[in-house]
Amino acid sequence: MLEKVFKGSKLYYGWLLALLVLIGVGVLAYINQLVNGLQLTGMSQDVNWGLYIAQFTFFVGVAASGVMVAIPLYLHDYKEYGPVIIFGEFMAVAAVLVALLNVVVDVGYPARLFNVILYPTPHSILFWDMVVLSSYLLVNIIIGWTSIAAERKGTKPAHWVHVLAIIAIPLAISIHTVTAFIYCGNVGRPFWASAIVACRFLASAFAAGPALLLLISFIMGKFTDYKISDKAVDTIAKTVAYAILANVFFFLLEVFTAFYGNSPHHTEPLAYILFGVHGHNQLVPFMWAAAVLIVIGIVILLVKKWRQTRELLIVALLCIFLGCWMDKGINFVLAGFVPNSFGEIIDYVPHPNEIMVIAGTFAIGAFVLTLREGIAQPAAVAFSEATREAAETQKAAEMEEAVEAAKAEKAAREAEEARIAAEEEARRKAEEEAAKAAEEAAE
Amino acid sequence: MTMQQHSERSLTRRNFVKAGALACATGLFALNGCTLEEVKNSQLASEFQGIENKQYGLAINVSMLDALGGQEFIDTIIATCHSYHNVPKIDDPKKSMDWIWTQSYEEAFSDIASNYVDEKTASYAYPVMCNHCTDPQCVRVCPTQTTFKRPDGIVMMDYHRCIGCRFCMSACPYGARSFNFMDPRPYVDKNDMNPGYPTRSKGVVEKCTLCYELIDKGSVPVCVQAAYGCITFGDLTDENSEIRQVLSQAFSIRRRVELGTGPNVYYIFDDSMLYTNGFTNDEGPLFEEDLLMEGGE
Repeated sequence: MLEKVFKGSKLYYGWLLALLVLIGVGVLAYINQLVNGLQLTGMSQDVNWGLYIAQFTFFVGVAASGVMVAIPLYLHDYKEYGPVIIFGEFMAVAAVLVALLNVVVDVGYPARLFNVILYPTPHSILFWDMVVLSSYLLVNIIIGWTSIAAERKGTKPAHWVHVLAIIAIPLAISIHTVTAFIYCGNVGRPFWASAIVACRFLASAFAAGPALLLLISFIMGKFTDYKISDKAVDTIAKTVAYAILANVFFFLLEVFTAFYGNSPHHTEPLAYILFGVHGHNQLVPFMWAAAVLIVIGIVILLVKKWRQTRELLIVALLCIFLGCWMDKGINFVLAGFVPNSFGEIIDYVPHPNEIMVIAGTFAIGAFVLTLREGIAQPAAVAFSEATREAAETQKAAEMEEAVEAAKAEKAAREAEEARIAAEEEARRKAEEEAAKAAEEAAE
Repeated sequence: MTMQQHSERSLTRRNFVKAGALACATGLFALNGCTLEEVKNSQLASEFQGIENKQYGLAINVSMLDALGGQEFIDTIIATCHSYHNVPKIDDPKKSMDWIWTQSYEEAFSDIASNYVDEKTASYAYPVMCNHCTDPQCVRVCPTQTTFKRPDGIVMMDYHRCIGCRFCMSACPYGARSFNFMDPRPYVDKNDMNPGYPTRSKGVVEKCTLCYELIDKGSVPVCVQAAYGCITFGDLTDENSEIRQVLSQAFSIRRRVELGTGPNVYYIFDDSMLYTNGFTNDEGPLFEEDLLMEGGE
């Protein structure tokens, strides 16, 4: 039972405390960056986007992946996903939050962020990214809020909530597509300027996102009464398998196009992450680690028996999530700057301060997610215990009343019966007397 | 389990979401309060009304630059530009700020560089800077219209509007933009400072603006003034302009033309111009002292 686990659980409060400490570290690191500028990152004039924008990209994908649960549920009425969907929506909210935080920490002059709204610029992809991301966040908050309100009242959500949930599906696709457009519109960056970037992004998002959803579901299942059916788990695992296969396929398309065509503009960034170029090979370990992890994940997911063994499934999901993160959360953004405008290769060496800021943003996302499933519950448990006690007292009082009422009724009934019996007696006596009198008269 | 317990948990969740959204909105509006008063677009537009549709550009004669001293001579041009515009001197090459600098032939023209390039061409130093493109990528991607194209073709920067997202740097195929990773002011030499040109703040992007402030006064860019005739400035749409005359007389190339951005900095290879194009040593430097503030070399 939920309240027994969460009430006073050291593990739970320890987790929250650890997150708070991480958030504190992140906030301090960010203040340090505000004071000293973005020199406290690995970025340079040549590699002008780094891990912040990479995390933004990755977590927009995680946020978008909610549709892999929403489409079967809302468009195909796949009821197994019913319990998963609200959780998926909250994971989307937390992921959008992490993504947006990584944009905020990335900009050089955050006090001017609202200039994006003050001077709306439709020819800028960043403007559209702001539009679709904030719409997606708003729609998810409204859906989550109204669904919960309906749940509270024990009714179904209003019809327009269902309509919103369906609107959220193309919105989710759009947030990651527009994020891909940020990259693939840059003609001067051949690694990014590819028509398949949006497809790659969506495929890796639909693998990594549902994988994370399942992993968190398992943790929730261990500590709370959150339940996800084995059938739902297996269906989501199959979704992850299809998506990661598509992602690998799309990557291989890039490799073929670059190396068969053999244009140096296309081959050099890929060679940089696959083998290293001119002694620059800092991204090579991530590339191959991602490749190995993803292959392990695919093999486990493809064999039904292994996929349906919970421990192996967890290994597969972890492998795929980490592999996708290394691919998109590190390599994709950094390799785009190789080579620079002058054919030079400038390495990116992360600064400890930016790692701390990123850890802080992750912690905020995890904290929001935990609060939603966690703190809200112990509070609710305490609340509900009080109400249950009140209910019990009331019940007892009602019972007493009922007993008394029954007693009174019984007494009344007895009195009535006695009265009826007396009347009967009287009538019989009268009849007898009348009969006797008649007899006497006859005689 | 009781319906009541379920509903109480939901109520808390709902309030939690509400509070979260409220906190986000409050935070963002508070941040917005910090924004400085900024020039409205319409004001800028009215200032431009006197400027006809032109496309200013530069023609850089690398052969002449080489004849006048090559890298050493170009360094004086760079120093003049950088001190005039208060460009900070940062030694770390990863964070250094440059409006104009040099690259080798192979680097500046990596797409057309040949394996067997002649010694002269290979040995020249090539000054590189913003190309003030006809169809600039940076202007297209900027989310705040911080960088915009003037009717005379200059790609401008508004340092007071830039949010520092560096999308323009990702989009620029010429590496022409520099981001202020730290507060630039301590890195501007106090003895060599131009009080007539604003310094920038940390967190914004900057680049060559073709000395729009001098052009608006009827003068020419600082680098042109410091180049002893090796760099020609003018309107590329006017066939009678000096720059068109120079370009019609010699072989010229531009950087990364295949990308379709329409770069407007031309590189000329013709040292005969040293003698035919009006330059003589007797005339001396072509500075306009009244426009170049104290500190310009």
